Amino acid sequence: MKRTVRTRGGRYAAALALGRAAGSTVRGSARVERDAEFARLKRLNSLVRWVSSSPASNRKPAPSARSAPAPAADGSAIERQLTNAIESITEGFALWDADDRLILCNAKFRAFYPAVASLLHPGASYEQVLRDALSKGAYCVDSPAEDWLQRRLHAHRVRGGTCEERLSDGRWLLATEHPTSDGGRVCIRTDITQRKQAEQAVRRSRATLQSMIDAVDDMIAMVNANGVILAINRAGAQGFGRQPRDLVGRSLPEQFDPGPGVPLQDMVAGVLAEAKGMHADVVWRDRCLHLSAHPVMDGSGAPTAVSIFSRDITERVRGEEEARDHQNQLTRYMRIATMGEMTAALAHELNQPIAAIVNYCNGSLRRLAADRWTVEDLEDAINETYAEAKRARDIIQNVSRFVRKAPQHRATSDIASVVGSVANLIRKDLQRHGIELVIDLPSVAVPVNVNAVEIEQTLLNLLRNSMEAITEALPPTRKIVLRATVQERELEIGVHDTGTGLSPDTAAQIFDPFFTTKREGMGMGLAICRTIVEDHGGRIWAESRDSQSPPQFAGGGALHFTLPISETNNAAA
Amino acid sequence: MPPHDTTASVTEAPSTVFVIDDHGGIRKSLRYLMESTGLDVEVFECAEDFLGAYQPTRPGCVVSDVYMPGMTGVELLEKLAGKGDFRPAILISGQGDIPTAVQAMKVGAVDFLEKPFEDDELLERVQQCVRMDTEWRTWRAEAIDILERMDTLSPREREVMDLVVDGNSTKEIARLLEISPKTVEIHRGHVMRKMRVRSSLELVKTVLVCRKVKGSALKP
Repeated sequence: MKRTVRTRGGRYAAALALGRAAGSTVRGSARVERDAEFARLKRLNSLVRWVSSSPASNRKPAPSARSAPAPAADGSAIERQLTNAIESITEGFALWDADDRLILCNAKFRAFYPAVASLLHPGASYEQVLRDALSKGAYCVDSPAEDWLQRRLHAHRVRGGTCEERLSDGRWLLATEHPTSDGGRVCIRTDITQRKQAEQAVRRSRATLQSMIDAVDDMIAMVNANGVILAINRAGAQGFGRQPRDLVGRSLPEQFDPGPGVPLQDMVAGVLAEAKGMHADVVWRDRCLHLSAHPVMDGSGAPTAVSIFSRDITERVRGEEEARDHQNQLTRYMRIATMGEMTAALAHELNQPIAAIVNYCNGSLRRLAADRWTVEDLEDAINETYAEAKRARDIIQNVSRFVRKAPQHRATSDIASVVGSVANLIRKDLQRHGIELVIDLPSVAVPVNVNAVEIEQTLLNLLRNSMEAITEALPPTRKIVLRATVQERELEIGVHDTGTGLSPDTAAQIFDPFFTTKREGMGMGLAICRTIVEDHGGRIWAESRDSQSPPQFAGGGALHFTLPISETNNAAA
Repeated sequence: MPPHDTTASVTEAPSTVFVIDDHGGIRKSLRYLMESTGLDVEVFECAEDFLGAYQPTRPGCVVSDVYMPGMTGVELLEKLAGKGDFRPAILISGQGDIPTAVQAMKVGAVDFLEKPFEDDELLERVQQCVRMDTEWRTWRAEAIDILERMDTLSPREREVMDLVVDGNSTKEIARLLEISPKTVEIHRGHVMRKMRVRSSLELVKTVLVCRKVKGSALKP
């Protein structure tokens, strides 16, 4: 299969026929034989690659041209054609003989290695060229130069095949080594710079993506229809106490052991069947996880895999629970406070008739015991007892009516009636402390959609607060003004007092739960007020000493809240 | 102090319980209860009404609500004290609070009861107050009587009496006053007669009854 012709002068010219069954090796200057050979090649009309030295313009003159035989006319034509062919391909091409000396190479080959282009003349040793190129820094090598060199020589001489080489100018070449039948080597160099750059870009973006995915605290995994993990990020693997590479190929549902509340495998099946995302909140190992699964489509748009995100929502759930607890606590306090208020009012009201009944009964018994009675006396006492008992019954009936009517839902009320009932409740207390209550309401009825009991509770708390401020400070003027004004679509209710007022710090915190300036206070009263007012869509705030107050209250305290004015009137119109 | 039933000097009028409460039901029922124990009761709707009908010489105690329209129970007691009337009083409050109770005690209330109070307890306290008032009035009458007797003494006799009460012998008195023991004996005899006592011991006891009391407090 190999046929090499070596002229005595050291010039090389070779004809290589591929796919031809020619067994003998011809040596010497057997031009006739060679010509005959070319002729035969032509006859065979088979695929022929004729290899010649490069065109004269492309190479230095041979050191010794004297013995260079001119190719035969036929041979020259073929040589030219083959030369043209070799020069026209985009790959670099070089042919080395069995002794690893260069027979020929094309211009492209030289262009790939500008540093050693001048060395690439026929007869140059492959190893020498490679060493020179390496020493001139033509290659980017990732290992000690000699190791790299030996590997390349091995690939060239023994292994064959392909390898990629990176040039120092940034280009990448695919080096292909083909053994020839006569022990030589054909080297093809293909510029794969663009491909490598594209690959690198892909790698870079993959790395970016990976680092992003790995930076996520949540689990991101991709599983196939059987739940087998195709990919999983670091956080996800760590959640199972593993590394990502240990988990790929394993079943994701099995990692959740003991299983979460929702069967994961069913979820995967469901997502694939319906080709749409599914969500589930599960509890796993005392953590709350929000799982979301989405189908991953293949090229044809059919769902083949499922991406699963698992977000740890334990803290959020806990926070929500705390907020709920807090709300419940407030509601409970409010109920207790309302009940306390009611009980106090009830006790106060019932005190009088019951004391009277007790007195009449005791008085009657003592008269009877002392045998010092008249029918008139006893009859009078019984009548009075009866009247007082009826009074007590009425009070209780009123209260239970009040409780029953206590609307759990809201109703449209006139603010005047709400204020009126609160004023009645607190009047006696105010009188006791010598405090004057001035009520200033709009002249027309202002409808507000409220839970009357709650708003009464709020007003009562604000008034009580003012009352305590006054009794503490004992100002020369003891006065509370409750003023309601219409501000656009809101009703603003202000409670001003002549107490010491609030510092800006206190004003800012006064509605916070458990904030209190009193020695015996839970700090719930005004917090409850805020809950109620905000629940009604209103606002509540405290004016500090430093803010603008009506002159007669300069320095006094003021608490305000708003309620949206009911739309019922407008809607009817 | 001697028990009131042994002194014949004062029991000129029966004791009365003056009840002041703005709540009609309470007022009326209290009267009914107290009358059952044989007490005389007079009721008033407010402190002003009571003061309008007030007679300092009428014996008895005051039972008053603290919080009423107008004058409070505490203010009423202050008014009475200003008139030199320290008669026993019970204040009743719907809302018992400590500052009010302290204030009530300062102005001389004997008791401070919180509603709802025990009816029997109130009765007991009222009776106690009536007794105290009687005792006070008895003692005061006695003291006034003694002071009146003292007024009949001459300055020298008064000097001798004071020295006798201080525990001096006739000789010592004679030396201190630079008079003869004989003269001291004569003065002493006048003192015993004018003070209507039979012995020096009785004289001491009598004088001590009113010695530390200022005259003004005894005059209504």
